[in-house]
Amino acid sequence: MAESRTPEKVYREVLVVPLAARREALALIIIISLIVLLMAFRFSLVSSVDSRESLKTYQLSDLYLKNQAPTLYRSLLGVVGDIMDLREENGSWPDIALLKSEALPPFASNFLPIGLRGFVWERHASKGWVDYFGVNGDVASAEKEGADPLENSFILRIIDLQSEDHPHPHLGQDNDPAMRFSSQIWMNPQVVDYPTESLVERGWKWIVSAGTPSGGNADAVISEQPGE
Amino acid sequence: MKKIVSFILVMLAIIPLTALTSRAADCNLTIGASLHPYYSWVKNIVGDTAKVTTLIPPGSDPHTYQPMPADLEHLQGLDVLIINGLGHDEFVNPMLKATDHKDLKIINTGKGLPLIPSFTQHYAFEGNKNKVSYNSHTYIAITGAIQQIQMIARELGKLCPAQATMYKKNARAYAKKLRKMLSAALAKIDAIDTNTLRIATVHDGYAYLFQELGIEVAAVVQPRHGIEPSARQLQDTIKRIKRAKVNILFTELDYKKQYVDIIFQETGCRIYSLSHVSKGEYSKDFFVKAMQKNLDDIVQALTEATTAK
Repeated sequence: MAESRTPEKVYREVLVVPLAARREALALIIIISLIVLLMAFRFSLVSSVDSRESLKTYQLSDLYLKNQAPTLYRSLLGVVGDIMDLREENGSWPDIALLKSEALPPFASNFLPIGLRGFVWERHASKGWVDYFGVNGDVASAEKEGADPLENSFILRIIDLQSEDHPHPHLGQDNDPAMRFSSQIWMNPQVVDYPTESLVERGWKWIVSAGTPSGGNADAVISEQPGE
Repeated sequence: MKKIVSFILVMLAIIPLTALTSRAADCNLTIGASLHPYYSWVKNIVGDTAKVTTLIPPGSDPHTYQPMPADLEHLQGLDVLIINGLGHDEFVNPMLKATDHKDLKIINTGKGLPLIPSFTQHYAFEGNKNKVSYNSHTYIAITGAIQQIQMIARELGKLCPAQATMYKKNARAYAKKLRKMLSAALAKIDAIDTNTLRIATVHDGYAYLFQELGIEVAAVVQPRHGIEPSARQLQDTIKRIKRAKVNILFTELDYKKQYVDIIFQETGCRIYSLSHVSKGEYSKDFFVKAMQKNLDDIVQALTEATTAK
């Protein structure tokens, strides 16, 4: 504050100290940071999660299937409901001949693109489970010459969870007591014989979809027993 | 006395039976479908045992539909709602938020389906490249449709146990019909040498269908459908077609003729239209008719392109 004197009047000069601009800037920075943090938090909630992180070592995301394998995988998934219905109707797991006569692909191969019609299917069943094992009889000549194998062997496994002799791993009943059947599709890149031991130990991969319960939140529902 | 006892026993036997019968008869669900295919599927599953309705009017575009107050009232009257759940019926979300219908059973057809990732291909001037999302057009396919139909039948069966067997039976018969369509198309495609063809689509909505037909799509020239392309986008589309050396371009039914003509003049590739299966009158046969037309058009396109070579 300073005073100045003139001949006529006396003026009192008042200096008004500006508001703390530094504090204003700081507050603004804090608010902007908070908004950015909130946006980042929201984005993390809505952004897609890479399901690969939550997959077991013996699982494979269906996104990594090559060539026409996604079509075969889709076809196997599509037939699960029919197989369950046929089992309930007949009291036993339907055999390949019945599935063919019901016009169910991939067992009835004329419902598949030509590249997938070489698969030969057989049924291996127990009371509480069934394996539909398919192996590609028309392995591409390039693969025979030593190129990397693609997807040549598949197993569609359906497990009756109410039976006592079902194999592992599988989606358990713990999370959904109403769940009667559990289905899974396994793949082996090689042309192999039907495995009598653990699929996991024999190098088979359980294919999981991003949208299925065996995908993203696998840890919560999959039995921890990797044996058969 | 004996008569009275036997009368009471008979009544005791009849009452629970009557209760069961009336419960079965009471199971008159009102089912809402967010998209055309779901309406057709549900009609084929339930027949006349349930009331099937739609959420949006026949001519409306589900991508741009804005719900009206009357729609909320309509939603309130539903027992079950069938949705895509993968982003194709986004208009449902604000409706569900706005209503407090706790008893509404929502069947999400996208749940549990194997999905095709759509690596969103943006135009050169757009950012956000390589963002992974999933293709929501799970209903433009036969095999995928069958899986969803079975799932819907199972879920409806849980709500109406007395009709569960009938729902399953209907779903199986419908699936058989759809598989026959696919098989017939595959038999025709078998006779065509598709190895020399380069196929592109205007957007990736047909990925599921082409995959089950064993046809490789070389390029998706305009990934986001329903948009009016600007001059620059059209130029970009033409560039993509030329770069991918495309012989056949599949557009949508409502893709404007002026754009088709320009693309044909600039690239010389044959252009055919496919139905997006989500516009038109709602009917039981809508899905079968739309998909049969799509299959026929694909076969025709492949045949003409190979014979013209």
